[in-house]
Amino acid sequence: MNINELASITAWMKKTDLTELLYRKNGESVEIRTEDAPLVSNMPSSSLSPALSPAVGIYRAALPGKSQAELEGRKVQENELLGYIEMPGARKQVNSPCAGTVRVVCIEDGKAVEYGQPLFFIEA
Amino acid sequence: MAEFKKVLIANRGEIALRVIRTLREMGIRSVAIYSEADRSSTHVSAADEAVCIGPAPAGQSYLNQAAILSAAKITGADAVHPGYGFLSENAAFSKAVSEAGIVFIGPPPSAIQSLGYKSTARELAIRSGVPVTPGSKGLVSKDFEKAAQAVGYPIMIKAAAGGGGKGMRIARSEGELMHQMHMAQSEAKAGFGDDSVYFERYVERPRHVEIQFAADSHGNVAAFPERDCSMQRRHQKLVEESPSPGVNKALRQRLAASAIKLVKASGYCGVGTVEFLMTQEDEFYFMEVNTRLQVEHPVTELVTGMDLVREQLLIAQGGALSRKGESTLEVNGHCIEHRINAENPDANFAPSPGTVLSWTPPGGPGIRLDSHVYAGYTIPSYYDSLIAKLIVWAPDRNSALARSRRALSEFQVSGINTTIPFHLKILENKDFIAGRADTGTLLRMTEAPQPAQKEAAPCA
Repeated sequence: MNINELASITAWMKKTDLTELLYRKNGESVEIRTEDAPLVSNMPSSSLSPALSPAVGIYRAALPGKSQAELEGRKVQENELLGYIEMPGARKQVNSPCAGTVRVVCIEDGKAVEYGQPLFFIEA
Repeated sequence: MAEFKKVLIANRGEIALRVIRTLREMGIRSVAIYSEADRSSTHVSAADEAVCIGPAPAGQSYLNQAAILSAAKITGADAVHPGYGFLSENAAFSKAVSEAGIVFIGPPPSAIQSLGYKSTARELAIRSGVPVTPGSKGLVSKDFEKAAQAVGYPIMIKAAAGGGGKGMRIARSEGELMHQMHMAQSEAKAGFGDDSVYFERYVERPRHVEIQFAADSHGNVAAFPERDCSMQRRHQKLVEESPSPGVNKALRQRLAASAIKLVKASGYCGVGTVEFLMTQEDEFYFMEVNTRLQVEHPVTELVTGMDLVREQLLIAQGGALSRKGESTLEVNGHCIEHRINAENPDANFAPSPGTVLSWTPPGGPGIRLDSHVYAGYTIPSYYDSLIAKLIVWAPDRNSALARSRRALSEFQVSGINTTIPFHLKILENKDFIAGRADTGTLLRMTEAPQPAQKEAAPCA
């Protein structure tokens, strides 16, 4: 395996979304990892999907004057409404990322949340 | 007005860190906001609190007014510092912040509109007796050819809502007018959503000289020594210095008097900068007012001993300026700022985002480095490419030039391209060394060695 061959492999790899590559030829092998490659590639997989906050603001389980039943343990559909984020002059919906069961509730009504904060974990 | 307990900084990078530093010295708590691309930025770790407000694109984070206001609300901030760029000169944001019962650390919306909008600022300058370049009476419309004749060529076509060199075009003769007018209007429309333009006489080989001022709510206005920002590339400043090698004490007083007249006429409150174009004959014309803290504000800080962010906070709290009167024009020594960008000067200054592998900043006597970068930091590709401001002070200009050379050669960065080598070249430029640079010096310097690589749009 010469340097030209390596260069053409890495050039090709840049055009793809691959982050790790193992290349074997004539008993030689080379392993290439981009900076996007995970540090630990054998991460344990989780069956829980997070429902992330779509905005920075105050979490409300229900609209003013209404109430929302206990979410933990509830079966939900994909995109089912799980609450709202209140911002000055706007309200954004929090929806379930998948169908399944709400296993973990990490938020309370009236608490401040930031963008991208996990609010619930759903088991598919 | 009560003293601030907590201030949210609606910005990122070096300027957010700069503001946080003064807040800490004043015993005020700081709140940083950040996009998902800036999670590991220094401004986030340096602040007392930090809130993620959105994804990487600025439109959904640092320009997202609702998200920033929401972050200010949930953290209980009593004031918002906008830094420069992003929403710093946005009258609607200033208004929204005030209406939410939070202090906007900057001028009121009315002052942003009267001074920040170039054509109205020019009209105010004319009314208050501040010299302006010959130009059209306000915006030009269908009879622009007649307006151009009255102004006289060469003509600069400028976007009313423009800034940072965007939406500016030069027409050197009547034959060029139609085409350049069309280009300027479409750039203005694309860049600012507003295709209004006006005309100004184009001055050959001018210096860019500006006066930093501060105005409090008690009617005090202080003007500080001028900054010379003639070393620009396509209207983007790269090197700034104070005092200007082309300005003596008498001229400084005239510049300052003009700036103060304009600021007083506008009823402005806060810090800001009046920019002037200076001709080779030492005449100066009003260009525009920046109603914000500027990138190059440290240059003024080092020759005056002021902390301009502290002044901003004092003014916003309803207090008085810490220094007033003639003494604010006194210059102590000489200061030069080098804007270090993550760009490749050998590839037409193409942005060079990526991970900084090593970072060895300069130090020693007379050196200040304002930067949010560290070894291992990844420069996101979403925002502007400024990674550090190297600010050098010395007792006189020649010593400052020597100190700049020394500091830039100490400054070692690997993993990305930077403009450090280009700044070292600037320090070899005969016109710059002699103190006779004009706003075209940098362009001539970058074009001279590579005559084959013609710039596609030299006026963009």
